[in-house]
Amino acid sequence: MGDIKKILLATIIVATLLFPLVSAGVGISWDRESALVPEKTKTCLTYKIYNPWPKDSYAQIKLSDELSEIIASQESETQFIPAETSSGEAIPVTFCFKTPVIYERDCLVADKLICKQDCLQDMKVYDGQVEIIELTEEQVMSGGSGGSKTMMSVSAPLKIRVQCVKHDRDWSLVYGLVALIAGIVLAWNIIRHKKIARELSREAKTTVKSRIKKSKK
Amino acid sequence: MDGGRGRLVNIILGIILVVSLGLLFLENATAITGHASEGYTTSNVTISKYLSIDFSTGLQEGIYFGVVDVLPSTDINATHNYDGASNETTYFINVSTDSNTAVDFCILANSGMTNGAAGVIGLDNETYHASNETSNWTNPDVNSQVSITTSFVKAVNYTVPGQVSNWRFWLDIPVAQETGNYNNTISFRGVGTGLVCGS
Repeated sequence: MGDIKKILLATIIVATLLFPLVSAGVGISWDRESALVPEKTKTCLTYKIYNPWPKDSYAQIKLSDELSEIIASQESETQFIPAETSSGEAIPVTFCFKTPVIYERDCLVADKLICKQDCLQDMKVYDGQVEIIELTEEQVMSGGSGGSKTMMSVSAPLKIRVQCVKHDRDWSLVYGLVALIAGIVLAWNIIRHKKIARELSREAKTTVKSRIKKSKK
Repeated sequence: MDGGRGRLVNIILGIILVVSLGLLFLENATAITGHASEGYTTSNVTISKYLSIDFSTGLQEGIYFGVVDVLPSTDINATHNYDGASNETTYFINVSTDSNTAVDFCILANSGMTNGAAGVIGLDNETYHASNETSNWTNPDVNSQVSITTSFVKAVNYTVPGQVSNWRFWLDIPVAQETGNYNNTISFRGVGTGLVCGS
């Protein structure tokens, strides 16, 4: 009977070590659910994560698939959140994205140059979530056989409206090219005229010298 | 005569250069704005939401169904379905009191339970029921079980800060299921009440 008690006690101790009663959680704090971002613009947003629970935890910020096509970069490294971090002390986490060129443009050259944008299409909206996923250590199988591992996350909605910026045809390239060509031809003309003038003056000097010599003789 | 014509060409080129540069500047210059003399004040409010959730120890460990040696088997209980002091479940998710919104919980599985040889127990066979009511022998209720799917679905709504949502899980194994150790991953997501689960 004494041996059984010892085995039971040892089992309880091992179980307590393996499965501590305190658990780690994850929290998200947000104050914006949508953003209006011009086309082809890099923008960064900040969310806050916290952990009011009695155990340290690790979390990762992730954007849902709906937003993945406009993501240029994001801080995706694992974030340590100390235990008892309240919502008031939440840790800011930033991610950035760059909106792609999505609205049709009317371009004269190679679909990229001398363009104008009329913005006749409907506004493009990307509707998704910002997810904070709690990362856990490799879970211990307790049932002895098959089963399901568990994962926990919290999320906040995020709607990104991509703004079309209307503009007239951009003739900068043409003006720049004309100015460049005019500048080059002008410079070439000036240099050429100076050279001709120098040669003429040299020739004139030689003629005058030879005439002086002849007259002396 | 030649020198005079050259000078004329240079003057024209100079004019073209200056006009082009002027147009280039105007094309890229920012709009000129005027200042209006009006008095104003600002009005501003920031609405923030925050929520935090936490698994029970049972859920942290994972959802396991033990060794099954009789096929077919239906409604096999997960190991912590009834292991509370009064037969209540110990699969639950806490909503922190440090939250300012109630939470809806969503659930999905990455796939059916698979073994090393690509044998699959379809997700139709892995079921759950979740409830905000106090857990006892009949709650969460096996008669209200729902199959898990591979996309997030709302499982339980409006768990208020300080409350827990209670969960139970069951598994059916068809008669022809091959032997083996089957696993998958089940994800739980907490969202502000009324918001969509997402993908």
